[in-house]
Amino acid sequence: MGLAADSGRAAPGRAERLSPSLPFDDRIDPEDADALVRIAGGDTGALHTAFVRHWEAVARAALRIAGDVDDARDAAQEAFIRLHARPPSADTPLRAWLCRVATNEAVNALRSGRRRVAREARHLASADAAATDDIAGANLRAERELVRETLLALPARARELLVLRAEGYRYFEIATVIGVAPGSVGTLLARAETAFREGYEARRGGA
Amino acid sequence: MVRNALAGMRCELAPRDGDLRAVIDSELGGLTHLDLAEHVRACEECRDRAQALRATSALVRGRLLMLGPTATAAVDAPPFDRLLVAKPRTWLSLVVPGHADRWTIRAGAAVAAVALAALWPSVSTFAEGALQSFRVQRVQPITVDAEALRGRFAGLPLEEGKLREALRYRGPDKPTFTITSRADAVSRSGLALRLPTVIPAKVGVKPARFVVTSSGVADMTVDGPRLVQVAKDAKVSDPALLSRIASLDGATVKIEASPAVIAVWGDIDIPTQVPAITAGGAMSTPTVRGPVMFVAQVKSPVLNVSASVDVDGLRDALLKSGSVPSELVQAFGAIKDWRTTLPVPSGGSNSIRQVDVDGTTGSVSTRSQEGKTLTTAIWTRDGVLYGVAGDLPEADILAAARSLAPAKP
Repeated sequence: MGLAADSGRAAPGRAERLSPSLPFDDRIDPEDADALVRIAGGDTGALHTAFVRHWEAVARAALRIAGDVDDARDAAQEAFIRLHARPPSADTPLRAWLCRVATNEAVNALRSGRRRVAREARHLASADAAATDDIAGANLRAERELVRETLLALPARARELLVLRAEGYRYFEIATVIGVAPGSVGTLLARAETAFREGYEARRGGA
Repeated sequence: MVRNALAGMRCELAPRDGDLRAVIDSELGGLTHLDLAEHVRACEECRDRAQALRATSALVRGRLLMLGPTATAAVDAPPFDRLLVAKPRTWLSLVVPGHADRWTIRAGAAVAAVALAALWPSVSTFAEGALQSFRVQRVQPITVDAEALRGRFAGLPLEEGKLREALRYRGPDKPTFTITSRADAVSRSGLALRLPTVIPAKVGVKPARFVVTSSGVADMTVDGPRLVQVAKDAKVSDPALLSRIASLDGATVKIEASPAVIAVWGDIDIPTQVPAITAGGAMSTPTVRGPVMFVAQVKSPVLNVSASVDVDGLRDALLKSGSVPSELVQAFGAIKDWRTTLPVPSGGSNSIRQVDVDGTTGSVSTRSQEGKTLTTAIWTRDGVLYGVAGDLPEADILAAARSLAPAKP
């Protein structure tokens, strides 16, 4: 397929010419930057504002990974606890940062399987399952499990890239919160997507 | 190369996948974007590549969005007050790479060695004789350029997920760290805590704080064929090594973590001012305002492996395979009692040597960076692994290390 990131190596001089220069509108939301300064100074009012402003997006991202409302709430809450205890620097895109912390927490919860029994029991009775017919519902659940399994098997950074991108975060935001050069996001993302696809298709074929 | 087989030529521009990928998301800034987008329209090869990338991207995005959430599932916010009373549960930023700025990682190097070692300890519950055990009885410095090595390994297509599957790994992903009181640290770890009586004045302005790592059990059962595949993916081609790896099929490894205790002195704290650090270190970085010193201790790690495994043969095959960088082969080859020796790697610019400390032989390393000097000392005594580290002169670290005494209750 020639999809591997080897094409750059074939002509490094050429590839360098294409190093991305970022668009000029890559700026941190000034309201968030201000909030981060105040949170770091112990201002709980600023923390509350950030909480109200970002809870929904962060909880939604956590729910996608966790698949369980209680786990998602815990994971999102942990992100805000961490914001309170150890706020990142003011040049951090706050929502993307919270989203990363929360989804990683959700992954940890999935791995530990601490809620699995409760979750499975709830699934049987959930409105989600009742809304569709049994076979379609079962298929959807199986498919979601497959996607989660694939995600969980990826290296942490690849998973974070895919999750943040699916949540719609920009390259500069992703680069900042996962700590890579903005110019490398495209490469890392392409690799992560290929890895996901391979893992997904292998599982699907093997299932 | 299949692409452009008909035309019998390759694209002259040869853009990176990453740039093509960025063009798809309109994330390749300014003129570069326009140039490359135009090129993709004109070049059949690049169009095909971009199309393949777009298809993969769409598949992934589609699968992820399928995870929901559904309209029926809303996550109610918890009461805001609960956030304010919740204590920080983890202190990952202290030692886990990727969660801290580089200086902090290095300052915690000895602590990290001890904490990670804590994930490899004793399993006395397994039948005696059925397992081989590796118990750390001494530490030995090895000279490898850790940075250079990391660079070489980073280039290998070794995937954590695949390795995890091949080992049927069941256990914790990473240690967690709890900030707690000394009494609680003692009761959680079961250690007869020993603390320095000589504390450098520079870090002694506040009493020590205590951090305990989590305990946990990890089990692995080798899936031979899968592990062979992982090795092949990582460019291992030596048949002798591959057959050794295949023969591991069904072998078990059990690891049980004892909690490690880390005492922290100095002005390192939850940030009260926004640190002027760069984006890369933005995640959960504790502010280090002044000199810090860490004293870490954990029961000596033991790793147990099925008796069926010829571990010496495996090690020899690995070292001879050509897959291990020669500097590592040399460094590991120099360790005689390798089953009982914990290698302590030193970075390229480190100076490292053996010293007498705490009635035994340990290693002390010194590294200068950004105008600071980081010193770490590490040794074992009576079945406990100790590490002392800080951005302090060697004399201060050794004085503290040599003054360890049972902590008064």
